[in-house]
Amino acid sequence: MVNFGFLLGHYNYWAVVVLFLIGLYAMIVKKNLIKKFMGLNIMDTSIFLFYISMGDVEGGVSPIIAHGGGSDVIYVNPLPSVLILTAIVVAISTTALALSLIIKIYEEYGTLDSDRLVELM
Amino acid sequence: MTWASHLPIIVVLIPLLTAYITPMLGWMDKRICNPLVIVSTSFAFIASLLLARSVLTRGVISYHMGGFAPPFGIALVVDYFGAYMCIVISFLTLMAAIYSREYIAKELHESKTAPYYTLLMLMTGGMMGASVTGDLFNMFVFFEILSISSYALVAITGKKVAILASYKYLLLGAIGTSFTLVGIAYLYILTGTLNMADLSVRLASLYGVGRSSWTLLVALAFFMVGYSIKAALFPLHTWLPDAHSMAPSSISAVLSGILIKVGALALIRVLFNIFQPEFVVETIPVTSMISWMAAVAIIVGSLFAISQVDLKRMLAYSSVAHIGFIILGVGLATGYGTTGGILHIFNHAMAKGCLFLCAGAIIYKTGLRNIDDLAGLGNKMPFTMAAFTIAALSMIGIPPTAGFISKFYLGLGALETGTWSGWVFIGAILLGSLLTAIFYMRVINNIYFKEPLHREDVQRDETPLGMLIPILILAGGCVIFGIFPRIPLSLAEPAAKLLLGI
Amino acid sequence: MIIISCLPVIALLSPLIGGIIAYQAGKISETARDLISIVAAIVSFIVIVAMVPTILNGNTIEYSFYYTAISTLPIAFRVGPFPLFLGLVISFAWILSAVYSHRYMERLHSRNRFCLFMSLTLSAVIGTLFAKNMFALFIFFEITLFTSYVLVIHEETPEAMAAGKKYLFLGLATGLVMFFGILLVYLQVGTLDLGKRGILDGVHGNILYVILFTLLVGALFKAGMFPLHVWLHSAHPIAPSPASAVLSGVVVKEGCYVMIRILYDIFGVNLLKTMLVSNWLVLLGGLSIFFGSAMAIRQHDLKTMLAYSTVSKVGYIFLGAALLTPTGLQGAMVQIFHHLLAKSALFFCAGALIYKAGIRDIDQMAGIGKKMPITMMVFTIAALSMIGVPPLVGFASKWYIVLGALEAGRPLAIGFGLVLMLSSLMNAIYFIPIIINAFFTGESEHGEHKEVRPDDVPLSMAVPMVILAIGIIVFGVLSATTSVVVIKPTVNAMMGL
Repeated sequence: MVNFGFLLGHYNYWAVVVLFLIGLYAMIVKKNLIKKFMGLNIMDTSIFLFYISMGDVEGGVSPIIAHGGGSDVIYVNPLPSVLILTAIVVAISTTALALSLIIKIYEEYGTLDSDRLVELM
Repeated sequence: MTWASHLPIIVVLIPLLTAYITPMLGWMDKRICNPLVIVSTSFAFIASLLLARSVLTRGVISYHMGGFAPPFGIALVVDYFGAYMCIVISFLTLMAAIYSREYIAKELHESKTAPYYTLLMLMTGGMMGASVTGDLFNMFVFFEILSISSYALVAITGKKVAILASYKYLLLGAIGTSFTLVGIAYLYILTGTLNMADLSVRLASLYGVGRSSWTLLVALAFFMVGYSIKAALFPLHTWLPDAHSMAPSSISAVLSGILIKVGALALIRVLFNIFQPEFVVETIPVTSMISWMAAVAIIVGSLFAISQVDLKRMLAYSSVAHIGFIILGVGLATGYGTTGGILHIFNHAMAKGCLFLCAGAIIYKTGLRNIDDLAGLGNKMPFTMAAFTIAALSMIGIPPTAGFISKFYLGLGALETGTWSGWVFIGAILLGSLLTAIFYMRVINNIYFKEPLHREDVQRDETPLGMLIPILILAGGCVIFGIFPRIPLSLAEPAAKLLLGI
Repeated sequence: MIIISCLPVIALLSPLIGGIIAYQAGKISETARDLISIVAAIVSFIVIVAMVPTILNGNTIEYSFYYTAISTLPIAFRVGPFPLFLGLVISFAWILSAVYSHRYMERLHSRNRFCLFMSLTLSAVIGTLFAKNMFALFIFFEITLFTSYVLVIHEETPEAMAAGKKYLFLGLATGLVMFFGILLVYLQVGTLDLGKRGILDGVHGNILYVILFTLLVGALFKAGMFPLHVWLHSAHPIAPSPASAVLSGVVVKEGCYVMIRILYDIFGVNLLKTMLVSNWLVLLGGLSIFFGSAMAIRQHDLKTMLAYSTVSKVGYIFLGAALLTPTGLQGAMVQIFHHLLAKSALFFCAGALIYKAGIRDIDQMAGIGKKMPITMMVFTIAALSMIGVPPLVGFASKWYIVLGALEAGRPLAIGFGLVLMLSSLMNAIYFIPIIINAFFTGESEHGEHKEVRPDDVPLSMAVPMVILAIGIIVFGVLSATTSVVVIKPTVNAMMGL
């Protein structure tokens, strides 16, 4: 007996899992170094989504206290978003470094195919 | 609040601030980078010693960033283990920095001097931060600082192979990062906090509670995989031999000597600070699982090292084996075992640091990397080779070097478990020691007792003094801390006791 | 009474420091180097002599470095009668060896290194003897392995490297097994002190057998006991003769010493008697005697033959100790002293033959006695002592071991009295023909050593040999006296009588 309500109610998490697996798959299977790295980025993105969706509260508003606010207003949890800002910065710097390495690899070896690279090493 | 109470943040800030100053000053004059880095690392080292002293006298220090009390503010928590790691990190970085002065001038293009020191300081700052932080996400950030700078440092020579090694390291490292990030998310969902002390209290109430305990296990699994990659624990070590052998030797020393130990530190924090010892030891035997993996790492790492022809690659595989010793000790989760594991962090840092620096000196002077070509070096570079021999004996665990003491503690720890697996572990430790002897004795025999091919190979041509001094200090440390092991033990023993809660 | 004194440390450090100075001096002057290393050994000897009166008065000397090693296991020294007298003889043999090697080594390469590692080995052996606990003992025990490894491979030929490899890796492996045993002891009783005559009292069960086995593996390897002798017959002959003399004469005794400490101090006589292992150990000793002698008969290379003879003599020591009777232990100790003197003398003679006539093979020795009378006289005395001819010291040792076997009263032990007789016969079979050949046969038709003039070896090589030969005779004649004054009290102390 499959609980469709449960499955559908957590659609955001399913999306995260699917994205994560797509990323991991690309990293493991793809031979091209850039595709490998795109896989990593997809994986990272899925984690960002995971963080943001876990901080979300149904019916919540941005945690900005406007006009003195009020006790009845529901705010979303800002902390995961803040955390993920940091994580995005980290991911960007990793990406920048990886891309510069890829450029150097292409200059030195003339290929980005990982099998060929193993032969050339 | 005296300045001394700010020590936890000072040890992190010194290298990080230096990392920002270095490129600016280096832009004006490249020659100023090295003295600047040496001075600031020396200060970091002194600050670490003071920090250790105040931890020893006053107990665990909790430092609240900006005065916000945890769990809302970010806390730096310095326990015995953190202070111990700070000393090891700053000490080895200092040695590498002194060594770099002459080594880098030859190995790297002049334009890379300032980036080299900047990245080295960033990496040190990251390692220091990861050691003292009391916040899980903060740890992730520091880990990224040290990881990204280490990816770049591996590739800094710009050699073909080094770039590829760096890319491989980066890909695996990034997977590790992602996994830890997922682990953090799970724990945050469960508890709503990221402070380690707070986490351990809140998680304790969730053990064995229905679905939560499953979530806990998943989080633990993500952490284990993520940090095992960073620590290069077998079978996730595949990036290490390439990265550590291709990096400049001064960096190899830091990478093999301490960077992978910071991964081990993260594993220890997750196992014993976030999860409670009774949970990881008894409820689900994670510790015994990683001990088995570590035992395999010892044997397999040593076997791979035996089959290497390249000296630095051999040293790198030896690191795979020795991270196994460290993790095995930690996983034993007994007083002696964990003490031994923590002690071995220091002993291995000194010995492996020394070995990599010696390998660098050999490359610097002769350009040789192949073990079979090293004949006659015993006469050519007597001091460097004597240091190499002492450090190699320490790796094997021959008394009176420091490696023997850690072997003694690890062995006692394995037997202390009192189970049949303990006997297997001690078998792995002893066999690992013997296998280590096989590949290090091969190098030593080549250095001293093999007829050199060319007569000019035996002309005396010693390493320059600036590179020799750190080598000799590290080799001297291997002997001194083997005869007087109570100095590191004075921190390692309480560290293990505090982690295990005994 | 316990006297705190740093004399044992000085005895240990003087060869260490002397060796390093000698190594540096050797780059300038070879004579200075040899003088320094001789002086270092003499200083060590004098320091040990200085401890004799204190020990004979029934005191023990102790010294601890409290800040060294692990809290309950500091690097500490304790000198009792047995270590002291062994140390005395060993450092004396070392002086002779240092004097001997001055001329002998001049034809070989890497003399500075040889000198340094000889001194380091002496230092480590003295450390092993004077160690207060098993932890410190093991430290020096392992250092000896590495320093003597360098002596074994001195020639750097492929054969030497192969022999050295066997020695080193078997030594490391057995050392690790022994290390395991030490860990077990420490976890069982929380101490490794060697002064308590049986620290394992009160431990029960199979773990005792595991401990006994693992500890003995390490000690018996170094002693070259059958079946762990496989390295000895290749490693000892390949080393330069002065090194062969100290390896066979001294380093092997280090193993015997550790073995006795394990049996009598870690286990203690009472515990071993309840464990009922004595007969098995005696059997092992008997096998070693028999095997060593049998293999020695088959050899043609003089030094290899001497090495096998060592295997058999170590069997005597082990057998005597394993009888667990005062007289048996007394015999073992006398055998240690005897073998130390006699085997050093024999290897010195073998070295002299190589040095002067280039002879390594027994068959080439025909008629050499007329050309090298001093060398062959010393050889004859040492060989007769090995066979056990009275009044030489070898006889005294066998006499005590037989008495000890009778004292033990077990049929098996008495049977080994017969084995002893048989092995004496075998000793005679491999030594007597050499002597007869050397003195009473004409020069062989091959004439390998025709050019050797009858002027024997240089004085600095002859004197150590002669001193050893005199020692063998004197101690043999005085064996009754020495055993009352020196050996008997030691034995009583060790047996806890």
